[in-house]
This record gives sequence, structure tokens and C-alpha cells, in this order.
Amino acid sequence: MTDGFFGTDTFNEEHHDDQAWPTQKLEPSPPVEVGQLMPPLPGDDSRLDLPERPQQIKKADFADDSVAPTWGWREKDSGRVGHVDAGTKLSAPTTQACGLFPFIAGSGSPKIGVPVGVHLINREIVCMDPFRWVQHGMVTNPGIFMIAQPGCGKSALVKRLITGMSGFGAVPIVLGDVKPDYPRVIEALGGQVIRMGRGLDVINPLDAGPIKAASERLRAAGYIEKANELEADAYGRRLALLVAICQVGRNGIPVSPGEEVMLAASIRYLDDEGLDSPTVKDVLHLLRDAPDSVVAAAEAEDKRSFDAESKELRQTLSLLLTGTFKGVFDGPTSNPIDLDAPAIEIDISALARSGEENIISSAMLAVWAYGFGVVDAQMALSEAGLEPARDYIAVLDELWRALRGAPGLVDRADALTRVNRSRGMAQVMVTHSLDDLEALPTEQDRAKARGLIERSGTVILGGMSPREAQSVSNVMPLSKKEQNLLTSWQSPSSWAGNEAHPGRGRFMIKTGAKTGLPIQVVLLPIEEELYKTDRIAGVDR
Amino acid sequence: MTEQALYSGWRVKKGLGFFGYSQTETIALGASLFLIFVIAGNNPSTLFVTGPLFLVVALMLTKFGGLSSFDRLRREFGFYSARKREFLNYRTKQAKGKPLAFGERLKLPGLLAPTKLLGRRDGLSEWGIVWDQSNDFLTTTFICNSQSPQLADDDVFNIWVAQWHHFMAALASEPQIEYVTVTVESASEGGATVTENLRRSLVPTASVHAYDVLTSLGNLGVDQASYVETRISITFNPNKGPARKKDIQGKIAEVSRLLYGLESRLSTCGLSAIHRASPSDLAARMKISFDPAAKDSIVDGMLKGVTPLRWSQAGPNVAMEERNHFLHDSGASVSWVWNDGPRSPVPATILGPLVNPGPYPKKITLIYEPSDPAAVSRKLEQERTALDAKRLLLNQSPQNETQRQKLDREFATMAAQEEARGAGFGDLSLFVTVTAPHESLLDDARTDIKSRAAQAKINLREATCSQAAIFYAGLSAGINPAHKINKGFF
Repeated sequence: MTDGFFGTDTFNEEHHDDQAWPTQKLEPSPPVEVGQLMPPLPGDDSRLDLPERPQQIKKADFADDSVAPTWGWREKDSGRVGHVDAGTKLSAPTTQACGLFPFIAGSGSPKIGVPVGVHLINREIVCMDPFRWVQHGMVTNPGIFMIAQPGCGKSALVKRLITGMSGFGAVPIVLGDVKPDYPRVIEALGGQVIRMGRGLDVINPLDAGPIKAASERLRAAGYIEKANELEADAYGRRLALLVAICQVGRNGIPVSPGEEVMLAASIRYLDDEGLDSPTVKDVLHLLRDAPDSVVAAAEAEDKRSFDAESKELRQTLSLLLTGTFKGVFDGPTSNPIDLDAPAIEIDISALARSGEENIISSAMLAVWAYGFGVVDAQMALSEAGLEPARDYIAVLDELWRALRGAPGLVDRADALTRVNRSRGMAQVMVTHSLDDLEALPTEQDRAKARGLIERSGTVILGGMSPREAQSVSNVMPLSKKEQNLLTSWQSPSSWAGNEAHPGRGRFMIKTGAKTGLPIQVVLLPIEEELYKTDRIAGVDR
Repeated sequence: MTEQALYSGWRVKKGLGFFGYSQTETIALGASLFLIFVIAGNNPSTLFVTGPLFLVVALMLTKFGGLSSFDRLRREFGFYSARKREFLNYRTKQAKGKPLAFGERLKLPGLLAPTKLLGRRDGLSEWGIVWDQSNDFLTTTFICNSQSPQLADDDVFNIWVAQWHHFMAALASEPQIEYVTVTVESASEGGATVTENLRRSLVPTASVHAYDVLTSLGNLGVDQASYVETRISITFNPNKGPARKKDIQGKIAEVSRLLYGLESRLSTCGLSAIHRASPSDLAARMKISFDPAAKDSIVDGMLKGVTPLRWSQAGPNVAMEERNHFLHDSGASVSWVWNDGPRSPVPATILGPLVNPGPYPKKITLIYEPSDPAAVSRKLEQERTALDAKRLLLNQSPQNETQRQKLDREFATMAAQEEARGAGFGDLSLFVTVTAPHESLLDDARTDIKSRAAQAKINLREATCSQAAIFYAGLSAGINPAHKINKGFF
């Protein structure tokens, strides 16, 4: 392309020479025609009458202050035109003239961030970067919510996004991968993969290890308040998690306030004992032993009534240790998160294969609490200047599986996945369909789940059924045409059978009420290679 | 769903012209015919001379394919004589590798020669004004993004279109505004913007995989993606304003005052991210038009903050105007003008096939010239009466009136009605320029444009012998060929 008609090298030289211009030598600024209006710009064309010209160039080669004739200078090689075609003027009243509407080419695909795909209509490259979109005021928060049916390549899009973001220095953390979809990508990024499951890695829901370490570092550096805040937070997060797991363990029957107080008192007691990371087993033993301070803290009159009240709770905890949950939560964390890793994945596919929704739900909750707690601690450290500041992009795939374990979990999940630092954390929540959220046990849960979508700055939609498109548009305004486009991606248009899935790799990116950006994800050969192996190892495409 | 609105009714003003001639031509021919007969009455033998002469003139004025033979001859002659005097080629006078001295200004080619680029700083932003010294017009340009109507609901889209009508209609009340030029430029994405953004964002600690993916994605752009930009240039004639300022500063201040209102009105037409083009934006875009192969290095330079190009440097290094194409630095371009718009009622998305990106970089330029509202109602009424009179004159009953004449008359009536109801009135011209990287690809590019024009129901005519002039119309430099038909002898 570059060896065009006349070549471009002349221009390039000239272009670079521009840098050497004596642009600052303006001293006795000569009074020029429009000088006052002009910005101090070297590109400024109006400061013509500087006195000296290099001798080598003939004066005639340059325009002086005389004005050129309309058709150009009347001299050899001046490019003067020989004729001007005036074109044809068509008259029309503006009510009709506006029908030749020129503003339909569509443009303005974001060019900041990871190139995630090509615009389906005008073929522009579409880039995505939740953090810088917030910086540039394109969205109000970095959250991303993705709704797409299985098989349309949503994990490929998420993988592209986290790969790119990791190249920009953000840390992808995939929390609770049930397929598993992401281990190979995370490994390719040099990240850490924790495989949770019976006989594999254990995550202790009461683990405060990394947070305690962080708060000690903060305290040592003199940030007492920050350290206290972090510890209080860690305590709350662990309690919320234990309560949630207990609730899931007993099939959704809520944990009573009294029981919650007992759990709180136990965790506090174990913390005060100086136990670095107490386990569920420790809590059970403690409740059995019922030391006076715990009895008092639980507002029980004596040990007898305490025992009576804690019976169900003890049974629940024991269920977590011996029943179907055996091997999931019993024991200290075996493979803690490496905070220096460029990417982190917690794979719970081994547990997911059991198919027991209760276990999947509680495992996901545990993973979220653990992961977000650690990130929160790390961010507190970087805020204090003890660690370099990093952005995190968390992927919560199939999040509904965690939420439907028991009523009220949406709230808990909200608490667990919240980070105190407002900046530096983007969550990518992925679900197959809004129906998954609609299947939550109570109306409050459903409303709160819809809130998760509303609060996400960006929503990514894949092919979906007309009914689903309609219900999405209740949460996120979609025009009729957008709905039709999404619906057209849902299934092949013919029975021929050799057609590729029409919605494969196609997504619509919606930010607020702006018109959606329909994109086609184009995978690079190196990515295809990597994702294919995932496909063999895992299930989803 | 709202019903799709349809539009029609653009027509060439004919007045009382007969047999396809314009009103003036009809009068002139009629008068000469009368004269011929008067002379022949005295001396019938003169008919042997005047008769054929008249026929030749009449034939010369008859339009074939939108142009009369007279027009064709005139342009061929103009082109031939300019070529003979070696005007048509252009060579920059800047010595190779030698920088311009500060303040030095090169001579720009052709219609660009009388233009200068001025800059003005308002608050933090800085915007450029092209000053055409040959007619003292000032042009400023807005760069904006248009939202895709493909995904907007019909009623929303209809509102955008209606707002565009309001925008054009309101121009009539600003006498300083000569015309508005909308240029939609599309090209394949060189990937420079994306690559440069990626290069800046990549961290040194990135893993090999992330690095590989991101760098390959930057390169992916070249043949996969495209770039579309919509520019709206507003050309002012400051000498027409109520406050006639003598000096250029006063004139620019006057223009600046008007721009705020225009900017906010444009934002309701389905446009977003509207901003005024800075002097460096304008110069860089012009340079890229002449030297498309240098696009990446120019964009890259702009992103890196290299000293911006001067306007006089933004012209081509070398250019050659041929009869049917224009060669410039690293590109070869063909330009068209329209002969006629869509005849049937069309939806407002009709220009879609024309403006959407194609295999070659192209510019679609639509110029709207508002007519003086005071004169227009009189004119329209005259026109309508003329057409009715013509029908009576030829004793055409509605049965033997040709369909085209009938349509034309209907359109004229409709125009008069719409005008009476308060619509603005004006003239539209459309110019198309496509640029190929090499002369040999021009036929391919021509085929592409022709098929797009056919889809858009627009009848295009190649701007023979005027390729350079039409090319300049797409540069957002405020050049309207209709205002440039006179050479200017001063």
C-alpha cells in the first residue's frame, strides 16, 4: 500500500522535520493579521511575514500575502483547475430534504481498551476497558453484567477481556469457576489456579490469614485506623459467610438471630485466643465446650440453656463437617491466594460435578468471600502506599448458582462481593438467562438480583429469545430493533443444518440508554488454540 | 411500531423551460427563432444558414446524461487549455528534506490556493477556521459521531430526521450562513489509533500471552475494521451579517457567536460527541486525504503530540489532474456529482448504502444551501404557476401530460405548500469521491460506488475534467464547487 503513486517518504521527512522547527522563537512578536486571535501554535498559518527566508529557496515558490485567484495560481505546476463542475442543485423544502439524512453511517465505537470485536454494522473495532470507560465518563461504574445463552462464546469474550486487561496491568480473578472454563487462560497469563474439592485444595471459610497479615503490616506502618477497619471488615465477612453456609447447609432454613450471635461470639472468642485461622471444626468444638465468655456473649442464662439453644446450630456445623459437605470446608486453607500472582482462579468444578446445588452454592459463596476479602486487604495496603496500586477484574461466572442456594443470599452475596475501595475493582457477572435470576426463591431476592444488573455500568447481551429480550428491556432499555437483533442471533434461520450458530461470537454492548454496540468477536489463532483445549477439558464453548 | 416516514420531492428548478431547456435557454432559443423568421421574412435564403445554425445550437443545448454538448465542450476546452499551460499538475515547492522556515507558507494547489487556516482559542478548546480569501468565506467544522439508526427505534430516528429538518430550516434566519457541508468519510481502519492506545496501555510486566494477544489484535485492525467520521462544516459569509465587521477578527468573533447555537441544535439530530475541529485536526485530515498511505504515521504523530502540520503543508507533494481521475501522493481518486436524487418516496435511511464503509476510502459530501426566505415564497409560487401555465400553454390535458412532468408539477406544488406551512427551503448538492491506492484499482472503486449509488437510488455523473475541484469539496475546507464556477480574474 505504501508504494503508492508517488510514495510517501517525502512527506515523512517533512513531518519529522517539523519537530525541529524553531517554534519558540517568537520574541518580538511582529504584528500579524490575526495575531491576537491566534493560539501560540506552530501550525498556525497566519504568521507569514517573518522577515527572513532561507536564500536557497526562491521567493516565488511561496505564497506571499497576495491572494491566489479562485481557481489557483496561474503558473506551471500550480494545480490550477481547468474547469469546475458546479454539480446539480436539487431544491426541496427542508421537510423533504431532511429525508436524505446523512448521519446514518454510525461511528463512535470506543477505541480505548482491549479490542473485543468488530462492530457488526460499520466494521469498526470496538474496544473495552471498564476502568478507563469510567475515567472517560462513558459509564458510571466499572461493573459488567453479561447475559448470554450457552454456546454463543461468552467465555471467549470474557477470556479476551481478562487477557487484555491483564496486559494492561489489571489482575483477573476468576472466583468459582464451575466448568472449568478459565484455568488454561489463567495459567497462560502466569496465574495461580486453586482447585477446590474433596481431596484437592480446601478453602477455610473462617480463614483470616492474608487479611490478618495485611492488617499487621498496616499497623506496623502506623495506619492503625485502616488496620482496625480491615480487621472489623474481615470479621464481618467471615461471619456473613458462615451464616450463609449454615443456611444453605440446612436447605434454606434461616439462621436465627440467636444462632448468629452464637457464631459471632465464637469467632470473636477464637480470634481473641490468637488462633490464626480457626476452622469450622474449632467453632463446633467451642460451641460444645461453651466457655463462659461465649455463653455470656450469646446472652444465654447458663450453659444448659446455651446448649439447648445451640443444638440445631451444632447439628448444622456438624453436617458441614460430616454430611454431604464433608471434605469441602473442614480444615485450614491448603493453597492460599498468592497476592503477587498476575492472575488468580479458584476452580470449583470438582465440587460442581457432584451436582449438589447446596455444595456449589456454599462453595461459591466461600470462594467469593475469600477472594474479595484478600483483594480488599491488598487494596488497603496499596492505598497506604505499602503495595503498588493494581486494578482487579473479578469474574463471577454462573453467579445464580450461588444465589439460589437459600433465600436472602443475594444480600449476603452483595455484602461478600463488596470492596470498600470504590476504585480498582471491576466485576464481570455472567449468567445464561434472566430466568436464572427469576428462579430465585423470594420476590425480594429477585428484585435485588435485578438491581445487580441495574447497577452494572455495562451490560453485554448475547442471542436470546423474544420473551427474554422483553424482560431484559424492563431492566435495561432496549429498542425494538435491538431486541429483534438479539432474537435473530438465537437460532439458525434455516433447517439446512450446516449453518454456524448465528449468534456465535455476537454480542451487544449496552451502556445506559445509549444505542447498543453489536459486535462480532474475532478470535486470534493463538486464542482459538487455547480455548479449544479448554473446550475438550471442559464443557462450555 | 411507528410507520416508516417517506420523503421525496427534490427537483431541479426549471421554471418555464420547455423541452428540457432551462427558462433562460428557452427564452433565448425562442427569441432567436423569432429573429430567424423575421430575417427570413425579408430574405428567405438566409434560412439555409440560420436554420442549420439554430438546429446546431439547439442540439448543443440539449442535455444528454445531465450535460449539454455545450457544457461538455466548455469543460473539455477549459481542461485542454489548462493542461496545455501545464497548470494541472502540482508539485510542492518545498525542497525535499528541507524544513520550511518559520512563517513560510507553501502554495496550495487549485481551489485551495486562496485558503488560509486560522485558529481561535475559546476557553480550553481550540478550533480552526478556514478562510477562503477569494470570496471571504469562513468555514468551521464540527467533527462528530452519528448513532446507528439500525438499532434505534423508528420513532426516535424520525425525531432525529425531523430535528435535521429544523436545523436546516432555521439556517434561513441566519443570513451569514452560506451553506452547510456534511462530509461522511469512511476508510479501512489503519489500526493506528488502536495500536497506539494498546502500545500505551501495555505494562512491561504483562505476560507473554497477554502481550501476544494484544499486539496481534492491534494488527488485526488493518483489514478487518473500518473507520467512519462525520464532519459538518458551516460556511459563513461574514459580509452578509447584520453587524458588518471590517477586520477578520471581528468577523471571526461574529462566527463564534453563532456557533454555540448551531452546536447545540446539531446534538439533537442523532449526533454525539460533537466538537469543533482544531486547526491540527483539519490539517491532518486534509493531508490524509491527499496521502492516505501516510495515515498511520500522521495519526500516530498526532497521538504522540508531534508538532502539528501547517495548513500549507497539508496539501499534496505531487498531484496530477486527469480527465477522469485525480492522482495525488499515495492515492488516485474519482469524483462524481449527482444528476438527480431518488425519484420515488424513500425512507430517511436511503443514503445508507452510500455512506457505509466500503473497500475503498470514500467521502460523501452533501451541501445544503438555504434560500433566502423572502425570495423563496415568491419564487416557488412563480415556479408552480409557470408549470401550470406550461401545461395550459401546451394544451396538455392531464391525460397527455407525461408522468415525469406530472411528478415535477406535483413536487413543485408540494414545495410551495410546505414552504407556506413554514418549512425552510434550499438547494442540495451531492458529491462523491472515492480514493484507491493505485490508478489500476480505480475501475474496481468505480464499480463499487456505482452499485452503492444505485442502491441509494441516486443518479451520479462522473465529474469529467473537474476531478480536482470536486475532490477539494470533500476536504472540509468550505469549498462548494457551485460557488467556484467563475475563475476570478483579480
